[in-house]
Amino acid sequence: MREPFIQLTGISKSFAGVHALQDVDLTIYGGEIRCLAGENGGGKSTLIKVISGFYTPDKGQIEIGGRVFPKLTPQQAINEGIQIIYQDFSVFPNLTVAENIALSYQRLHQKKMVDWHALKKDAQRALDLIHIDLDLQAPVGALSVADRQLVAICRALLQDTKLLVMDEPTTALTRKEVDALFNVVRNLQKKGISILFVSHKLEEVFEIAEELTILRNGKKVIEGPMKDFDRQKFIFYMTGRTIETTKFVPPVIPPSSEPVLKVDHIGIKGLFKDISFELHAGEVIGITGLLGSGRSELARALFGLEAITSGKVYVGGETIKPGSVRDAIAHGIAYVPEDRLTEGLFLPHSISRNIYAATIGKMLDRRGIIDNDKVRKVTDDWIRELSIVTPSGQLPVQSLSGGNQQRVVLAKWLSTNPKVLILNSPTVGVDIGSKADIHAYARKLAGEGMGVIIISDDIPEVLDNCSRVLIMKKGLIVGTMDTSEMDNQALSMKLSEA
Amino acid sequence: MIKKLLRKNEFYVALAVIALSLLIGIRSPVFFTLNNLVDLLKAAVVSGIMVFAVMLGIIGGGIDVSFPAIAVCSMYITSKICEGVSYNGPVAFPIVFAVLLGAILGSVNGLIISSFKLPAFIVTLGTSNVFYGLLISLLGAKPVNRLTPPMEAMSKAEIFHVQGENYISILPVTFWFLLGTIIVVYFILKHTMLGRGIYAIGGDRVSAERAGYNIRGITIFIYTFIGAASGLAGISHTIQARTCVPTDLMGSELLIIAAAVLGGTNIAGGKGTVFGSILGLALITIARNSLILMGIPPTAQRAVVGLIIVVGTGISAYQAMREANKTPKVMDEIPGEEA
Repeated sequence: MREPFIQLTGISKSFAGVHALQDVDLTIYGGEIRCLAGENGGGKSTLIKVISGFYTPDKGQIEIGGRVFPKLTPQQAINEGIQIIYQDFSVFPNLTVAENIALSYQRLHQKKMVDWHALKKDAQRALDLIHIDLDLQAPVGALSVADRQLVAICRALLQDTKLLVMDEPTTALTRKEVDALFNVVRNLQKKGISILFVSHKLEEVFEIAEELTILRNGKKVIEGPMKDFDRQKFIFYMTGRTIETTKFVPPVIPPSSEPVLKVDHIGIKGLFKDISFELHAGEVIGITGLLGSGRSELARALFGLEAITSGKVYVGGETIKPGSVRDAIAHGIAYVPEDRLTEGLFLPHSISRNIYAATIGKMLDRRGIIDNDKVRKVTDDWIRELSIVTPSGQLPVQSLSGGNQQRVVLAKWLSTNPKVLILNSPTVGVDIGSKADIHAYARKLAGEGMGVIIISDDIPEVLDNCSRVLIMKKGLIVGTMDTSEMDNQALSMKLSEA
Repeated sequence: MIKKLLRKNEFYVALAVIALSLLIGIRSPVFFTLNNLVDLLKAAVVSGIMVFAVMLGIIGGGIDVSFPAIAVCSMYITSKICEGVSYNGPVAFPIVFAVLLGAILGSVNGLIISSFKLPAFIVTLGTSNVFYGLLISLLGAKPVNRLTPPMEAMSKAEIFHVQGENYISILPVTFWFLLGTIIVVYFILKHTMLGRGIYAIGGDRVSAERAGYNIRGITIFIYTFIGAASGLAGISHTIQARTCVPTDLMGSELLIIAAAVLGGTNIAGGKGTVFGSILGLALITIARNSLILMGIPPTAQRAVVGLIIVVGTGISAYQAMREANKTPKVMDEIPGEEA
């Protein structure tokens, strides 16, 4: 019987009347890998911050290693061996790898002066612990996301971690990097360290976790060993809904119909070349490939964000000026970008403004001034149409959860009445409920005559929603598959083939 | 190795210093005399002390613009008091007094910035006007033309002098203050946890908070230090000029900050080196003092200095942009013709 490392009992926390956590119990045992799952806004982040001492709960008790902490501070949590690796890793991009790993450790020992020699040794020691090789002098800002994460883990390890909490650690990682990470996690477990994995990614949770705790709306709804759960049960407890995943049935395309989008041997020097395909109204096709295959660059090129250096793009028979987003939009192409936070939304602005951002011209009255009544109506219509969860269309869009933010981006582009909708990794960081809704909506749009392209590395997403998938590798299309002939395994393998 | 050198901002600043020196020197060989070097070193003292102080602030993520006002307040109050009591003791006391005064004023900045979590730029813009306004309204603006004997004596003290063709160039003892400031700032930044904390806060404030750094303490330290150094700069200016004019130094904020930025101190925080700032200081000092040797009238000098700043910071900004936008090539392994 393992010893409990930390016991949280009856934790409640509210912010301005909103109950983020209600009477949550959580016990983490030594050396276990537990997943804390829940939709965005469900209380996961708040619970982590309570564990880290960053938030003090309004009610409830925290017991670590048998000792009760009436008011846990971040420093106390660190002293007890609790380390949180946040989604942004909290690394300093302007400092070197060695400094990021070992400075906190030196501070722990109350040092006032930097011991550069010891710093390098300690940093190297941490790297060796997880068998990783990184340049100690490199500024962390120059490292890849996966490497930064490793730096964060090394930093945690140096500080005699007993509980490592990782917040959505796999969001920005490729499949290979996820495997490497999970290896590290299992090694840490062997050393007796407990790992609390916060995630909502179905497949990964099933792969790595031994125990599962699910939070919904601030309450713990279920807990138990991983083997007691299956996909349906997981989704049910996460969302409170039973979500069916059905396969998309493409329309039968009459042989003479013009494609709504025709891509003819396009390329950008150094990024991709010789890309050709056709998209018909009512079709949903997928483009997939590993990170670095050129798929994102292709997506941006189709929308005019990057100028193609060869080939042509035709919408409804007319060519689009390369490198002109304006021209692309004018011809009816809409693009929902990969990174909604930096490329798709004006975060401090209201939901309303974000919705009409691409169609301001339609919001003007006779004098050319914005018609507020029209704006209100349009905003309310879209909130209803896309089921955007918000008390008001005037709230800043950054107040919304990921899934709802994505709906706002979608609303913005659908307002332009596009003929072609390109969705780039549309459900990254989106809760399961919103994910299903976005997929259903994409199919509905296809059914109404739009051509939809889904660019994604989420294999189930591509297989369930697309009739055809184009596989990209190193800038070229290496295969076009009919999705009815493939399953998860087959597509994964095709992707990772040399 | 060469590539690494080329990427460093300091390399380009050094090139600029050399280029400017050559340009001026070819036009007027007087530039390359020891006289001129000593004159430049003397000219660099007051602004130099402030450059290294302000640099600490910028690295920590905050732009302090009140340092000239603090310098003036410190030097003027000190001079007035000395004049009033006909001070005749050791010169060390007025100097320390000025530094402490500066520290106190700086700590006011530090307290406001850390307690209300306001941007340093805004706060110091306000305090600059408050400090200076109060000074002039309470003490008037009459220059102190005759310094008390101890300060007068120090102003004549020299480290060494150079006998040139037509005149003597003196390197005043206040130069030690500049050297001292450089050494102290270097030491803090490179060898103390406090210094690394400053980089951390400037690099990512939230991460620094999460890592348990004493943000409040470090912030108060930074602005107190800037204040103290400004006090030192102010009193050095008075001693060097042998008179205390309270309208001096005001308005030099941007030039000093420009020197730091040209030297590679990233205005967004988190990056900056002492060596770089030395180069930036050299560039600005040469530009301000030696353009006259090229026959460029003082009125046009401002435009030329401005041009140097725009070009200089433009280059480093361009470099930073190129670093940030590097899209990794997807296709270098594909043989055959290009797309």
